[in-house]
Order: sequence, then C-alpha cells, then structure tokens
Amino acid sequence: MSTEAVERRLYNALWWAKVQSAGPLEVDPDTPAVAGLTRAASPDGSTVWLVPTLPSGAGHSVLEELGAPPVAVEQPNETARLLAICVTCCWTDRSAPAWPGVTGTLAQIRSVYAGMRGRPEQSSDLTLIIGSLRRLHATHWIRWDEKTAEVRLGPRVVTWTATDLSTLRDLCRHLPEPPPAELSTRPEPESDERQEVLDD
Amino acid sequence: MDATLLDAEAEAAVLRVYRQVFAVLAREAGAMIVDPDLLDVDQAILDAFAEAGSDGLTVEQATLACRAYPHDMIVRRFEVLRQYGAITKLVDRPNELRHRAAFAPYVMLMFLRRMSVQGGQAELHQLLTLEAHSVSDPHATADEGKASIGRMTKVFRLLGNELAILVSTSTTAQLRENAQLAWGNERLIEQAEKVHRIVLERWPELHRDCTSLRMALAAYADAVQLAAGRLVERAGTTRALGLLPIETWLTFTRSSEPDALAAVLDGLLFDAAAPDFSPQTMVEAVETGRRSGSARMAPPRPTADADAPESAAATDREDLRAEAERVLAGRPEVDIVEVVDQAGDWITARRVLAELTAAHLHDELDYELVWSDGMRIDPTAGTPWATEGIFRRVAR
Amino acid sequence: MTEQHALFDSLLQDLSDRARDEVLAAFSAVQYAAHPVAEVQLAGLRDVTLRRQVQRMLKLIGRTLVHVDGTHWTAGYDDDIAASLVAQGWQPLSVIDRAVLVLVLVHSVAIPRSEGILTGDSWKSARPTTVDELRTTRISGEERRLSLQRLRAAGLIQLSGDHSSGPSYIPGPQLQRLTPAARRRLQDQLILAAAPASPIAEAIRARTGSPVAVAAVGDET
Repeated sequence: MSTEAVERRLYNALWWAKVQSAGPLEVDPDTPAVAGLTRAASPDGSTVWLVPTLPSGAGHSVLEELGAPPVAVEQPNETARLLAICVTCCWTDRSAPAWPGVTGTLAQIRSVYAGMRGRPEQSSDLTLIIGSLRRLHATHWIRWDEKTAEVRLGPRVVTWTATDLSTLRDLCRHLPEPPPAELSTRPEPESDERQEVLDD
Repeated sequence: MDATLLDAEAEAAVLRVYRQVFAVLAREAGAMIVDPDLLDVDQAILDAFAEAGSDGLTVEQATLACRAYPHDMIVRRFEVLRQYGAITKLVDRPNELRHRAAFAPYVMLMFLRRMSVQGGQAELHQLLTLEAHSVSDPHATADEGKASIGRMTKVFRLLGNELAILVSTSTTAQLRENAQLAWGNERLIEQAEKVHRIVLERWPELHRDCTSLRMALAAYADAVQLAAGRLVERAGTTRALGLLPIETWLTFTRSSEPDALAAVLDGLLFDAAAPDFSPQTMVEAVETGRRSGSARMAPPRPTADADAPESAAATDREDLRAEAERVLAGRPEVDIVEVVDQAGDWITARRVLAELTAAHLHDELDYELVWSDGMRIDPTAGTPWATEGIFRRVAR
Repeated sequence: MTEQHALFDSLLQDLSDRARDEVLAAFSAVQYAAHPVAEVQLAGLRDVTLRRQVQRMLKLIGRTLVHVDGTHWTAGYDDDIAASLVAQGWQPLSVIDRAVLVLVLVHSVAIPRSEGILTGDSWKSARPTTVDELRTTRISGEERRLSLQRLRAAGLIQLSGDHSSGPSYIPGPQLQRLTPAARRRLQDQLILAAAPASPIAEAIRARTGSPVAVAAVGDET
C-alpha cells in the first residue's frame, strides 16, 4: 500500500473513532472528506456535521433478529414519541429532506404532545418532555436549547433514507398539527460561537 | 497504624503466625494445633476461670461453663492446657479436682490475636518505637545502643530474607498470600532509620553496627521491590488491584478531588451513547402513547408552568415526591393493591407504579417500595391480578 | 442490490452475498450490541475467514475485535488509534462522568479484589456500588444524578439488581470493550493514583518505563 493510502486509512479511522467516542462532530467545512461519514451542513452553512453511515444490512436493524439488544435507552417509548413530535414541528417542508429543517418551540411540542395523548396537559408531562428532549439532544437526534426553549432536528436525521422519510411523512399526518412557532428574537448570525468546537 | 493486610484471612495464614510464634516455646516439634478454632476453645476455658474466682474449676465445671462447645473438646483442651502448665491444680495433692489458670497464657492469646490480624507489622512498629525510646534515654549506654541496632539488623534481615526467598521460590499465589511482608515498608524503614540516626549521633564508634543495619534495610527494600515487581508481572490485567489494602481504596475515593479521580481514565476511550430510533419504532411509540393516554388524577400544581423549568431534574424529583405523597395521602405507608385498585384500569395503575418505583429508586427521595410474595386475585377489580406489597416513607 | 459505501465497499465487493450478510451481521453485533455476543451464534464470528473480514472492517474505523471469556466477541478501540487520539488530547467524557465511573470501579471492582472475592480477570463485577458510597465525594447530588444517567445511557454502568438499599450500580457492559492493553492501563492508572508511593506502584512504573512518549500520528493531514 502506498504511503498516501496508509495515511488516508489512518485519517479515516481516527475520525470514525472520534465520532464513535463523542457522537457526530461539528467541524469546519474545509475539513477533508472522511469515507463513510456523511456531511450535514449546518443551517447557516458555517460548519458541517460528520455523521456515520453504514452499508445496508449493517447497523442496529440487525440486532433485533440476533436477539442481541443495544444499550437500553431510558424511557424508550417516551423518547421515541418526542422525537416524532420534534420531527412534526421541525420538518415543515415535507417534500424536502428532514435536515436541516426549521426551528420549533417547546410550546409547539407541548401542544402536540397533549393532542397526541388526547387530553389536556398534565403536570407530569413537562418533566417527561424535558427529560426526553435532553436525551435526544445528548445523542444528537435533536438540538435542544434549554435557554430559549427551542429545538431543531439533529444531524443524525441525515441518515434517514427515502423509505424512512415516507414512513415519517405518514406519521406526521397522524400527529396533531403544531401551532405556529413563536421564536425568541436572537442575534442574527450565530457562526462565531460555533467556531470554538472546530479545533481538536 | 498500618492497614490491615490479612483481609483475606485464610486460616493457613493465621496458623502460620501462631506456629511461628509458638515455635520458640514448643518443647518438641509436631505438637502445634492445626485448627485456629481451638484458640477460641482455649479462650473460653480461660474466660471461665476468670469468672470462677478463687475457688477454681473442676473439669466438669469447666465443660458446663463452656457448654457452647462440645463436652469432649473442652475436656481434651483442658488436658492440653494442664500438660503445658497453663492450668494447674488449686493445691498440689493427688485427689484435688479443682484447678486454677495462670494469667500469662491469656496475655499470649491476646497478643497472638493481634498478631494474626496485623500480620506482626503493628507489633514491629511498636517495638521500633520502643527502641527509639530506649536509645534516646539520657542514661542509655553505648552497649545498649549497640544491642538495639543489633536487634533491628536481625529483624530486617529476617524480613528481607523471607521475602527474597519467597520471591525466588514460591508461586504467585503464595507470594500474594504473604504480601503483607511487603506493605507498610516505608514506615518501618523510616522508623529504623530514626533509631539509626540517634545511635550514630550519640555513639559514633558504633558506625560499623550502623552500616550493618543500613545494609539490612537496603536488602529489605530491594526484596520488597522484587516481590512487588513479580506480583505485578503475574497479575494479568486487573488482578493487581487486589494487591492494595482496602483502606487505600477508601482513602483514595474519600479524599480525592473529581479531577484526580477522572485522571485515572486518562488515555482510555469509551463509546458515546448512540441509541437508534428507526421511524418504525417512532410509529409504534406514538401508537401506544395515543392508546395509553387515559386520564389520571394529577396533583394540583401551584405555579403556572408556562416556562421551562430551571432544573428539570429538580422538577422531576418534586413531581415524584408529589405523586408519592398523593398516593400516601398522609399515611406512613400504603398497600399496593389499594393503589392499583384506586387507579382503576391497569394502564393507569402501571403508570402510578412506575412513578412509585422511580420514587423508590431516586437517591434524594425517602420512599421505598417493598414487594411481598402474595398476589390478590379479584376478577371484578379493574386490575384482577395484583401483586401485594407496600409503599412507605423511610428515613435514610 | 445494495447502495455504495465509500469506506467498506472495497472489502465487501469481493464477498458472496451470503458472506457479505454474515460479515455485516457479525460486524453490527460486535459494534452495536450492548453485550459481547457468543461466537457460536454467528457464522461471521465462527468462521475464521469471515471473522478476518469483520476484523478488517473494524480496523477501517479504528476498532478491533476483543475476545471475551474465550467464547464471546465484542469490539473496542484499536490500541494505536486510541493512543493517537489521546496524544491529541481527545477525551470526550467529562471530568464528572469520569470521576463517577472511577468511583464505581473502585467500589465494585478494586475493593472486592482486595477482599479476594472476585475471580476472573475482567472489569466485570456483581458487587453493587451504592449511592451512599458515591456520596462521599465532592460532587453535588444533582451533578451525580445526571452523570449516573449519562453513564447508564452509554452502558458504562448499569443498575444492579440489588435494590435493597436504594439504587446501586455495577460496571456496565461497555467495560468489556476494553482491549487487554486498555484493561491493564486502567488497572495500572488506578493503582498509581490510589497508592503512588506503594511498592506495587513502583513496580508498575518500572515495567511501563518512564512515561511513554506516544508519537502524534495522523493529525498533520
């Protein structure tokens, strides 16, 4: 193998190991491509996320038939429901890919949640909702901003295939329509604050 | 005091110390006890004599006083103690049945028990302290200093030799069993060096004796290092952990800052949590969420919850507390079957039980959920099958 | 028919459809199942040729097969890759999370080892660490609670079945992903931190030599 090929392999392996140990990474757009890591440009284009993809026939989907479950998620159903609700709030243009989508709000999420449950909001709902949003944020399924109470989809959603998206389109139709989002005002460009995570 | 090193206090190790200590007293070989429990019997017999007062005890009285042990065992042990003179006739005449016990064997027992727990190191520390004390005495003579240095030289030679021979001849398991010889060595050496310093300053003419002591100390330190090296070499990838005393671990966890604890994992990489949520799982979760959305009585909430909570964890805790208190309704404990029945249907009951379980598991909440083996079966109830148990407030 | 995969295709294209499925199943099982999987369960692990393919796939992403108990397999970081990342200062786990994990390892593994009640040579243990034992340190209750949640989510700790005195934890399945070199490193660093002046620590330093200088590789690209 040529030196260049060896270096290439090492480069790929190091980035994959980084992503496995830290989750999807937000990097400078100039970062050279890493084989197998999909690039998801952040909404303002200032950074890209590196997200691992696997060949079909590999990944979590095969675990169930092997009877070898992955690490358990706390409150798995509740968390999956919240992800569905985030999708319905943040994926407004359903003819486009889910990433990057738009910003949704906690108020929207609470409204859809109560609608899904088919009853007025209960006191314990918010605890469950926040808990799930934090879990989803920590694992990069969504980006949840606790201060502004706003949410976006996370980079992991770029791995959804066309078939996945059509399932989700159906799912969104079955969930209550979110009320219009009332976003907090914020400083226009947000590119600077992200810069710090680029270096490693 | 040094850490207890014989935590894995194998009988063999205990016996070894006893055997070694008794060796200098035994009249002939082969007479050593082979069961450390016999020492408990000896102690029981001597205890009985202490209680008996000046009238002493007959064999039968002794067996009665020690009835926790088999009669024959007491009789046999009594005889052994008598043969060694630890127990003697109250008055030395042929028909005398009553006996008295000497105090010295009891002192020996106490000493042995300490030795067996401490592996002899604590005693060595104390002896070294006494040596330091005696060579510092203004009336001490050069001869006494010389004797003191001589005793210490021999102790450390013996310690070092024992360890060095163990390292070269024994299996890893034997070495590990004798690991106490290697521990606490810095303190021992420090104490010996202190005596050495005092003696050399007071009586410079003893420099040759002092050199011998220094060599013995160096040999001991080398043997310790060799033993440790060999143990580490053979310990695999996690077993060397067992070579440190428990107290060392406890001190480490109690006195270390988070940074120091975290640094243990320097250089190690772990996987981030990466759960998968397939669209299919999401569809199923939404389906079940919709079905189980039946209403449940909720505790009143004091404030408008229009804002995101400052701390979701705190909210979480307070919600669990509110739910627990709602279920308890002022009582110290409540029957689970009652809770289940009050909930109406099983889906609601399950949710309430989930919250009670969460309250039980929450480390800042003082509730506990205790299941018993019984089961209530009532076909007319909302939840016909209900496991019995109680939910209660506890003081943690 | 399958889509292209930029990293794995060069390996997978030469395999029959059947072999490809077996290799991908075994790869997924060792990579994503929480626990090590039994060798007998998967052709991709049983068959040495297929297993070599699995190992090649793992190498491409900085991982390697780890044999557990002689009968099971899982995947962990390749030692060289881990060393390179460490040399770059890469440590995604927060200080608090690492500290809490170390406390669990001391109470569940190191102390039982000193008591002589753990057999085997792994970081597995059924001895629970109670919340009280975790409470003894300078980490607030709130921080500790959140940290325990994160560590559980990552499979680094798990709830012990023993709830008799409130929740308690044992090391999680992820610790079985450590390679022999990583397991030993963890042991050595724990001893060096807890008893730096002990003869055992001295022996460890003597064996590993002066601090190993790991050449920074691969970041200059």
